[in-house]
Amino acid sequence: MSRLAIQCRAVEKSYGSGGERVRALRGLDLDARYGELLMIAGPSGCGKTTLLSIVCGILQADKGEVDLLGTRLSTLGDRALTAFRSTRVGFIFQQFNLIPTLTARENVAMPLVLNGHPYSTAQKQAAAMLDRLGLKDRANHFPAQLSGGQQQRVAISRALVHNPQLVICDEPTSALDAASGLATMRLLREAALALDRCVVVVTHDSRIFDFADRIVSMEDGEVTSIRGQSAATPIKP
Amino acid sequence: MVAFHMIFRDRAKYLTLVGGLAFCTLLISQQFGVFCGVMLLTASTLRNIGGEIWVMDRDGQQVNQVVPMRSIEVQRVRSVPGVGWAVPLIWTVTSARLSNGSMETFQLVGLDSASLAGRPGRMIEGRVEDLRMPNAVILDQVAVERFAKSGITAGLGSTLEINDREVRVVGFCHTDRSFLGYPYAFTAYETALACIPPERKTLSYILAKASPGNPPADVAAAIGRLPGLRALSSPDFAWATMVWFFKNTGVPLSFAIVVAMGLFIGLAVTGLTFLMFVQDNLRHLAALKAMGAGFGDLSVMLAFQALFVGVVGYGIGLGLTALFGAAVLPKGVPAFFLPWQAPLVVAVLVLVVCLSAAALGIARLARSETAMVFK
Repeated sequence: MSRLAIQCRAVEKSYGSGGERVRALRGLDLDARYGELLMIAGPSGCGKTTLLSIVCGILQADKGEVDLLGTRLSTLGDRALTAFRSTRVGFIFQQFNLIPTLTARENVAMPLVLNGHPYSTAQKQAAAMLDRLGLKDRANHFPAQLSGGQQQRVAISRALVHNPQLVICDEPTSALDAASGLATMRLLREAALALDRCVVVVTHDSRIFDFADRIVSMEDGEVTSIRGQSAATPIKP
Repeated sequence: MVAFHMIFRDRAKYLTLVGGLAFCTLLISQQFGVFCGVMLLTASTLRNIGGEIWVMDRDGQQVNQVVPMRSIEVQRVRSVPGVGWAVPLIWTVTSARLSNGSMETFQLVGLDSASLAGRPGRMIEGRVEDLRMPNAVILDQVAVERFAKSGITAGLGSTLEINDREVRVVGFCHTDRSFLGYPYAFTAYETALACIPPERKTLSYILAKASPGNPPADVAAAIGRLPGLRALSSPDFAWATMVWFFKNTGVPLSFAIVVAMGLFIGLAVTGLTFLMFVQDNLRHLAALKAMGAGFGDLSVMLAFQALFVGVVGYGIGLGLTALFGAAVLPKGVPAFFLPWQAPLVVAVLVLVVCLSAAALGIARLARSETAMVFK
């Protein structure tokens, strides 16, 4: 059994107050291991996004504990959380969230710049990462000049360039056509999954479930089922 | 570098921000320059005549408002210890009939014929000493321009009538344009007396100079202790004149309104555009927050972007103001003078505009949730 990268225990989160109070998470338990690609699936409003936000320390749970990469998040202050995220977590967003006025290389270099790397060094590392993901000739293009699949590859490059231990992916295929979505997931597995890294993917795209080591289904703020076997590094063909 | 690229490559907003700030800078600094120029015009008679100490009636407040004195006052001033010399001066506004019959208003300056103290400093043609000839006048370049507009080519020997007295042009000089806008006609004291309507009191000012070793301010104070007289050094009189116009005319208010409009337009255009820029980038800023950028880092980034467009806009605006100055200074119309303090004041105002815009953007960022990147 490999080590736990994420351990959520009895996590609760509510929005609003009084009669309009919405319980987004209801005492949720969740584990994710290093070397694992974990998918969290469920209908809209089931609490996936809230869980994702809490797991990466963007939101605080009302109750319960989250241990992330060996650190209890509730013990970290805002600054420490920010520093923790910048060095140890990579993000792939649903709408890519690439800064439109920066080139692909500059976008990919952002995590390194935020970590205090010299601008020129960050640019070189970003170029190398883009090269690795097959975007060498697109390094100086702006996001608007790239296809959806290419933009997502840039986003994956940005998520991996600083070698984080956790990669958070929010609906990585929702803005892509079927072929691009599958290609993106294949690339994500190949490029992101490693022994010392955990990849968490939130999705409702059942076409990509095959790429998961385990699939956690959620409904009404609770885990309703967990499918698949935990594995250390089960790279699928 | 990232902050720079984000704002610089968003061409539409960058150009709008820079354009708004350049316009704001141009409007404020240009109006500032014109205002200072107009204020300087109010005391141009002092610069055109010169003189170390100006003595006037005790009710005299500014150079363009003469309270006539008795001629005997010159003797009283000369009797004050520390006064090197004192001479009478006539300054009045009068009309003259030109050779084609048209009328022109002049500022007639009657100089002491012995010393010619207060003589024009920059002669274009002719000799100042010729003012000692009977009925001689020296006109300035403004008069030449006015003559030309009336179809008259003014030259040495040209004649004009002041109160039915014919005077002959013996020279032309260059003067600073005056607030009143009328040309200057320099003549001898006696000629001026003959030209103006007879009155009991005809002396406008007394020009005095402190004897060597006596500070002009002290001598002016001593003269001022004489009953019925007031004396000021030339710089003090210039300042008193400008202060009088500042307090007693609507000139400062009208300029202040334009400056306020410039500031308001700058603030509105810059603030709203920058807010739009932040709003458009809110998701990206939230993504940066999620990726580990602190609120402080992003605030510094927004402040840098606002200041960057501020510096560029300010530079362009100030450059345009300089071009405006270069274009109008040779003509003298409109008056323009930009003291070194003006760009500093405008820089502070632009800084306030930029920081306000940045504050709006930062406030918007503060209200946003980082979790929006997952929505």
